[in-house]
Amino acid sequence: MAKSVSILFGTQSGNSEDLAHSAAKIAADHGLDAKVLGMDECSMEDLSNTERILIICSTWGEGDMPDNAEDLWESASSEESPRLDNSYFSVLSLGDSSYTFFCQSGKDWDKRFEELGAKRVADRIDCDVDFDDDFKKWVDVAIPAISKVGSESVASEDAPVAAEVNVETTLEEKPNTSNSAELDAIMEGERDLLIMFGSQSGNSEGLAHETAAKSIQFGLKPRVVDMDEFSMDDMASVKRLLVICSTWGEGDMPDNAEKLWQQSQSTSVKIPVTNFSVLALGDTSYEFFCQSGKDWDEVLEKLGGSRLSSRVDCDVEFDDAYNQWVGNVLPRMAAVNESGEFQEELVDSFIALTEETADIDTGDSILPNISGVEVNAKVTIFRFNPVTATTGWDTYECGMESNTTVSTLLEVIKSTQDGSLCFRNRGPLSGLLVNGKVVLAQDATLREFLGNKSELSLTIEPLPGFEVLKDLIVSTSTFESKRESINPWMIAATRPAKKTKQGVMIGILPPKEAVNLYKMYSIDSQVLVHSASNTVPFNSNYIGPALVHHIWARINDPRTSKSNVERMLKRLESEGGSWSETDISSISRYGGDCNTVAESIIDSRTRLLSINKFAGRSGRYIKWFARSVKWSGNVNETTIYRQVLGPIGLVSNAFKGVSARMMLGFTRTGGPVLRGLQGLVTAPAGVGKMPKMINTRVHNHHEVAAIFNELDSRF
Amino acid sequence: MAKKYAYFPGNVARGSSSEVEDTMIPLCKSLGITLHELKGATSCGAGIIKQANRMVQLTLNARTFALAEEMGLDIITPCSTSKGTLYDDLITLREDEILRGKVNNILSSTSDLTFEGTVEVHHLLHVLIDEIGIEKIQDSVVNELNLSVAGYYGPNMQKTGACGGDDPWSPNYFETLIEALGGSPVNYESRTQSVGYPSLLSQEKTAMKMTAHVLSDAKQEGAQLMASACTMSHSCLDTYQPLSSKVSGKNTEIPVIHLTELIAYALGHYVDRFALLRTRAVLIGA
Repeated sequence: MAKSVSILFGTQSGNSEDLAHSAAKIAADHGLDAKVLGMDECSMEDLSNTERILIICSTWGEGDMPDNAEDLWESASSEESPRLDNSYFSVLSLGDSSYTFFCQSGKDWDKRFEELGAKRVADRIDCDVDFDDDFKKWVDVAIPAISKVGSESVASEDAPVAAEVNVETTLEEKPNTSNSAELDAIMEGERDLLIMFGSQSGNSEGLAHETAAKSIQFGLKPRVVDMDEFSMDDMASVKRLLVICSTWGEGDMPDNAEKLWQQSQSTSVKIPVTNFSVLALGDTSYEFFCQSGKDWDEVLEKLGGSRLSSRVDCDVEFDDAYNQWVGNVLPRMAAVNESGEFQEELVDSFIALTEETADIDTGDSILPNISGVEVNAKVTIFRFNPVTATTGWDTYECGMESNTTVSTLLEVIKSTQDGSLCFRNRGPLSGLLVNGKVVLAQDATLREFLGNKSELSLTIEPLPGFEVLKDLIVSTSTFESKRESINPWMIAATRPAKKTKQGVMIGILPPKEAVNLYKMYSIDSQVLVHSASNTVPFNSNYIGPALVHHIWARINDPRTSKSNVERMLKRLESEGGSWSETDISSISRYGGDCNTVAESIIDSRTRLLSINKFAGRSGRYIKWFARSVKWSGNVNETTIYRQVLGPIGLVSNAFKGVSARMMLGFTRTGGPVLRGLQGLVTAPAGVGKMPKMINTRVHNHHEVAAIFNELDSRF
Repeated sequence: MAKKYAYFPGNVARGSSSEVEDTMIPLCKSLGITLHELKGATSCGAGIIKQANRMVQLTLNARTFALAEEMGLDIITPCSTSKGTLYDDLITLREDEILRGKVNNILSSTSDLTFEGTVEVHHLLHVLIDEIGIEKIQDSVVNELNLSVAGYYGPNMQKTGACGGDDPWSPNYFETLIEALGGSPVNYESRTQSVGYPSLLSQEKTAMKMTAHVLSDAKQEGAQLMASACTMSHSCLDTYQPLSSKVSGKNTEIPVIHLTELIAYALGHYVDRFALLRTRAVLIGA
């Protein structure tokens, strides 16, 4: 059963809600069953029975809670509030640094949850108005961390909820894992890892978060802390400490480390149980290379800490040195028990524990879910060599984790079996056709294609509807030309604006409209949606579903000028527009973004039918389909053919062989050739596969007619 | 014990494709499925009426669901377009309480019906594999097919939740059934792709190319016969077959029948039709 996580949002403008939904998608990718809730949709009693809670909350006015969070906050801050001893949490706080009480609401939630006994799995991050990067940092740490804790389902009062027990369980599911009693014992204890960063340019902070993410696979519970937010008084109880610090100017501490450094020079605190290691960032072209890191390394030892792994000094190109340091230090930190004792004999066990992952990991954070199963995959891949203009298929066999992505599978094949294989492994252009389904290589896992089978057989081809450049790589130039041809950019009308407190004029958009627009424009990969249509490869004039959707989004954007709306409606009606899609179900069956796009095509057609009064063959087809249903309850194909094609079209069908085939009732082998005399006098009807001229009405037909009359008088 | 269903014939089984109804009824009898006429049910709209007015199609289908709920039976249909359309509307109505309320208001003002959301909609193919079981089908075979048969699913019901326990993208229910009926299933890539039926009359050239792609794909993989689980797409695959060949320049010649015909023939019904079909399949199939 999937673990559940509740993602609570407190919002005034809609930003927190959007981020909560984005976080839910990411949580789902980690195998979590995510539930997004407004803070006005839950109570503290509910939360006391919830194991995993992520909070995204904005701040309003002078540090106030947003409206939808008021009641819950009142309940949480009262003395009668239920305890949250069984809960794990993390907070993302939204705010505006130009206000005095920056991110106060998020800070309040963070503090109060801790007071109520909930365990923080990742540090709070406070976001300014440009929150995208900070949001990413937060989810990168908080979601993997929260996915590792708690039991499989929502905890009841009796359910065991200790994080350590479950970390152990998860690790036990990994292949080649040691089951030693010592390892079991150490995993049952406290597993906190404090990662402090002193940063001027952001590099140290980035590495701190990366280290936190990597530490989870060792069963550690990381907490990343800005040195500014830490006090030496709290250092004494820390068992595992990593310091990542850059050097500034002439061997100076970065600004955010200065205060803590000064404290460390005069503190009386001793840290005999602290195991530490330092990563120093610097630049060898300066005289005092990595001085700050060296200083921390020295002072921590002086205060009684135990250096668990030697300091590593990094130059401006720090990747290799960092990887060496982190690869060495994390298994050693993992081997520190809850009393702060380093059990060196367990280091190898921890390294072995992650070896399976390391074999597949290409070094850029692709860590297959350790709950997956090993499968034998037979992979058949389309090949195209542009030099010799030859095509063919190559088949490879390999054993992989079921949770491995298609991207990683291809990387493994390329690195171990065939270095000539070409594909895109990341981004919105990494689309592929796998077993008849278009997917993004970095999103699709092997499990999707395994089903109930034990052996996996994959056929991987380039995206349909695009020119192939080499192997699985396609050219998107045709798509881009089509995009350019629709003038996709915004041509805005003059609209009301408001002055912000900072004196900047900005346009006004009601939150609901803004959220709807955001959803319409948030298509992960237009290229993928384009290929989802079965029509695209067969009609070069068709702009494709993704661009029809884009035009429709612009038409519905209240900022778009009226003249541009009219121009775009004409584009949708014209050749290659909305009516060129022959079967919307081929797109909607993918769900997600594709379903959104399919709905847009339907909506655009509804609008066009209304404007053009069912003109053209498509319009007539829909009109007479509906009308024949209204008349009898059933479709009358004879009526539809006659009305849509007209006399010329019907005669044309006779020459194309369609009518003859109909009359012969070609596949009704041995069935009745003639059906009713009416066909003989009023062709085409009633002969062979020709349908009946007049339908019999369904039982209680007056009800059907009444529904039409009530809802749409056009039929 | 007989399985009972409310029978929804689809949009064309009582129109241009009466052979569907001819064969659906006897095959169900042979396999212990009791069909009850869903009296008063209308066309499902096939996603066509929805393009003009969503509420009309939803209300018509809510009425059909309510009729089945009154009978206390789930719905069975031999058409994948009907299955896909009814399934989509059923899920929409179940998940949107406000919309359900509006639809029920219209139903109550036009009939005495109320949609509750308890009914399920099944395609014949999924009932056979999931409910009847392959062993019973094998035991009921009278005339083995002894042909290479390509099953055509179409895209409408090939989505998560709508195709029973089958895989939407790499399905095998049809192939399992063909094997049970004594035929050799043909695996071909385009079996869940669209043949463009909804735009046949307005985008004829494109629909013909799509149709030719599916037919020639099946032929190239060695099919002597194609059977369609979609009664509407059958029109493209059969009636428009010569035109699709002319438009695309591909060899598309292959007999195409409905899923219901394939099963009924193997179960011993219409032996004369089956004899003619076998002759045609051997002469013009792959």
